Amino acid sequence: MSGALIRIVVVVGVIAIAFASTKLLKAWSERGPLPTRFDLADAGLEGNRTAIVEFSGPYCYECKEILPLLKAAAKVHSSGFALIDTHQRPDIASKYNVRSTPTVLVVSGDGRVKRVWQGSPEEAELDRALSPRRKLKVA
Amino acid sequence: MTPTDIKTVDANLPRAKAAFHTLIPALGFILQAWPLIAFTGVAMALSVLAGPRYSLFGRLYRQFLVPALDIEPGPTEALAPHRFSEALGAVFLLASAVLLAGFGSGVAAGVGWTLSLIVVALAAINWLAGYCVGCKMYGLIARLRSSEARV
Repeated sequence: MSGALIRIVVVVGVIAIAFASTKLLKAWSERGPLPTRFDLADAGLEGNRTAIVEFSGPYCYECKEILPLLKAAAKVHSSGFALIDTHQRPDIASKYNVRSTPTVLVVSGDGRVKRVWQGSPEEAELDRALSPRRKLKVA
Repeated sequence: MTPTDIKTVDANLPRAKAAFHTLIPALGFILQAWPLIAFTGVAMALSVLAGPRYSLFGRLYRQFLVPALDIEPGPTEALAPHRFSEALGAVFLLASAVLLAGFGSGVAAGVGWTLSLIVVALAAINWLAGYCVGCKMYGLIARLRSSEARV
């Protein structure tokens, strides 16, 4: 009986250690500052206009879901839009400390990152980041 | 490959299966019953090799737990990372079962139980915290392979 009790303690302990390690791993994987500058040429964009850049992945469904919103926002605000697959371009992802998908940036024409979302942006937030004066309407 | 080509799965299903992958091997360890480890390993291997239709724990979830607890479908996720994760678990549990069945005690049995406890820990993280370590490994391997392919 005492042997079984010890084994129960071992199971609980192993799970607790695994949880603590996961927390540490997550904290480690999300380390690093968010980008403050973005070279638009990395996304294949040219010109001096504001752009939306989405970091995506082939297994990221949230990334696919927000595509229409991002494209509509870019169209309404006459901004550039670029989609970067982190599996195809891990070099760009690591250059800008992108650790999760979707990560969405709004970059001004001079390369300054105006806003970063690690996850999906709200329509109104995106609207504000692109232009505080205009309202975005998505059909 | 584009996202539209990918087979998907209800995100609740792998988490529910992870509950079985945690509880049964944990019970096997507590009772020192290696057949429970072998049973879980075989069920996982069957699910990976024959497809989700033949997943015993998946069927238990869909046919009994979903109607009994009135569980709503969750968001969809890519199937491949979860399948990889399950395959990894199956390999660990089957290796553990072979060691335990072949060597009742000693170092080999210790290694066998350690392998089982690794699966218990990782499945518990997936079940309770929704963090699939095997899926992360799959993503890392996919990244490495895509970067190697470009060199």
